[in-house]
Amino acid sequence: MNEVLFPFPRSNHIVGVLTRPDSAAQRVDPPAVVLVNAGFVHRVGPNRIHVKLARRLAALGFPVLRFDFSGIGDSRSRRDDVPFDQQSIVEIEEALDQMSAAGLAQRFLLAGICSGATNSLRVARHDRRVVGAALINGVWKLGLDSSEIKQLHSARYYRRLAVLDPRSWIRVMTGRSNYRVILRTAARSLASRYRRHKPQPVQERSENSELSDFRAVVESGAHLLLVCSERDRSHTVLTAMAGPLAELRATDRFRSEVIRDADHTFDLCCHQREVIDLLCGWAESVADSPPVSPIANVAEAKGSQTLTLGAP
Amino acid sequence: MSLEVEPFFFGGPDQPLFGCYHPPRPVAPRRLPLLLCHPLGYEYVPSHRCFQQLATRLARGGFPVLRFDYFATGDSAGDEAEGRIARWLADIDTAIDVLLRRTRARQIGLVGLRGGATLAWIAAARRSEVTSHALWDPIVNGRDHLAELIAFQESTLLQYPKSYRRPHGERHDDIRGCEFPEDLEREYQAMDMLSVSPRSRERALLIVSAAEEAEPLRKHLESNLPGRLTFQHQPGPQIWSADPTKKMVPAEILDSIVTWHSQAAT
Repeated sequence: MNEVLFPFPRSNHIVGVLTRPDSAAQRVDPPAVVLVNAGFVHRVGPNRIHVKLARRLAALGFPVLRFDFSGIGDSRSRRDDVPFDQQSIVEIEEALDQMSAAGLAQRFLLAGICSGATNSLRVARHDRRVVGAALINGVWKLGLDSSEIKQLHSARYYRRLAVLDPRSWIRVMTGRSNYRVILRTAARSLASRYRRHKPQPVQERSENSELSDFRAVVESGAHLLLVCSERDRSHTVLTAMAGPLAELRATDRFRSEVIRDADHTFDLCCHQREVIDLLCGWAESVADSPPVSPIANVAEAKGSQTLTLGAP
Repeated sequence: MSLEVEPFFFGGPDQPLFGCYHPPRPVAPRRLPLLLCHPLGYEYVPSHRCFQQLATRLARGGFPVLRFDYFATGDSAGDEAEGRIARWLADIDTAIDVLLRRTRARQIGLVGLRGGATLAWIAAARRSEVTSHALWDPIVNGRDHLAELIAFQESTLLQYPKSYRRPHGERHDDIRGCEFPEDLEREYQAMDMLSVSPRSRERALLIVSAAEEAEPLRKHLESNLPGRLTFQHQPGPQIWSADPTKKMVPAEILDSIVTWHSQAAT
């Protein structure tokens, strides 16, 4: 194992660990990988997944940094006037600056779970050094409002998951279920199915910033991997918005994958292995891809297409 | 690096352990160095923030503090499947040596939460330098705890398709997202705080969330440490099993631990 503390001279309160690539893994000019905090979980990640991923990537020849944002894990809070909502961006970019200065890489891949996905996207959107971002179980809305997402997700839960669980049936038969929620979910699900069968004008959802950001990253020439766990809300959202995402999927720089049966933080080891395998394969494909010119417009790459509302 | 925490790697070069040293606020006289022992398995991540804050509070109270990751956990070397209790006990020995050398102290206190408290208790039996224990909701009996873990895992797997479930009698090699090899399972079954007796000059603080379950341990400690046990029943959220994104910090319990150590130092 080849891990060292990684210095942040400008923010010396930040604690980071660099996993250096194995000398036996020959890779010419690989991008470095930065693993971004998931929520308030410190740099090892939920179920130590960042550590496992870092060491696998290093074995493939990638330098990998995991660090704690200010106020998370072992990093104390900032004492300057950087606005709170900008701190994550500032600190990821400082990590990229430092890795560049150390001669580790000039190109970078970002990867993060939950808020880590959001923060990775925010940096990838603007920083051309980022040639790829793996966004895992991001808290996406893609133009849907919170109540829509909740209703869609509840319907999926009851249709797919609750029916498999014997405890759900026991609760139903012994009067311990929330019958109001079950009936309301069923009614709304039936109503939405009825609306889908009725002819209705095709409408384009008002442009939303997340979709714009996805497009901007891909148009800049970077690669985007969206990973969602089947049980996670992100899967509900991405399924519902399959239409608007179709033109992105037509490019070779956008990819979305589902980890079957997995939950938000991969609480089964088999799912951890699966997502790690996926990310390693993706990182290798991005590293081996020739540099490409930015696309002027994603729609041009596919041809214009009327956006439609996707079915859950 | 900020003076509030000094991260570093220690131990053997091939299998380094990660630690964070919290230098003490200068007080006179210098206070007892304290080694913090993290919970085990899935309980480590949800507890991390709380432990970091406990270390910070103790350091501000004048105590030099080291908290560290056992082999195959956290940022330390090792794959999860390599984790063993025997190795973790040796890691506590190593961490004790490192902290004593760093502080040039001859005595040390151990602070542990859950499985960390259990390991600290067992490890201290062979270290005459250990003079105090702060034990927060320790796992008294490994066999009983293992049964709870397995029951929880089986309950969790009911939410998944049948293909995820283990046939009756077949062991689980994944418990709450952590690899659980057979050797480790055997070590858990042999783990028992009641089979280890402290030296009579030690002092102990025992904080529990469930008083009834802790009764056998309380009696064991009282009989071996007459007049030197402080027992506190503090019901509250079990932070080690909480959603790791919540990162709860039970301030009252942290204050109790700091106060107990401070009172002993004066």
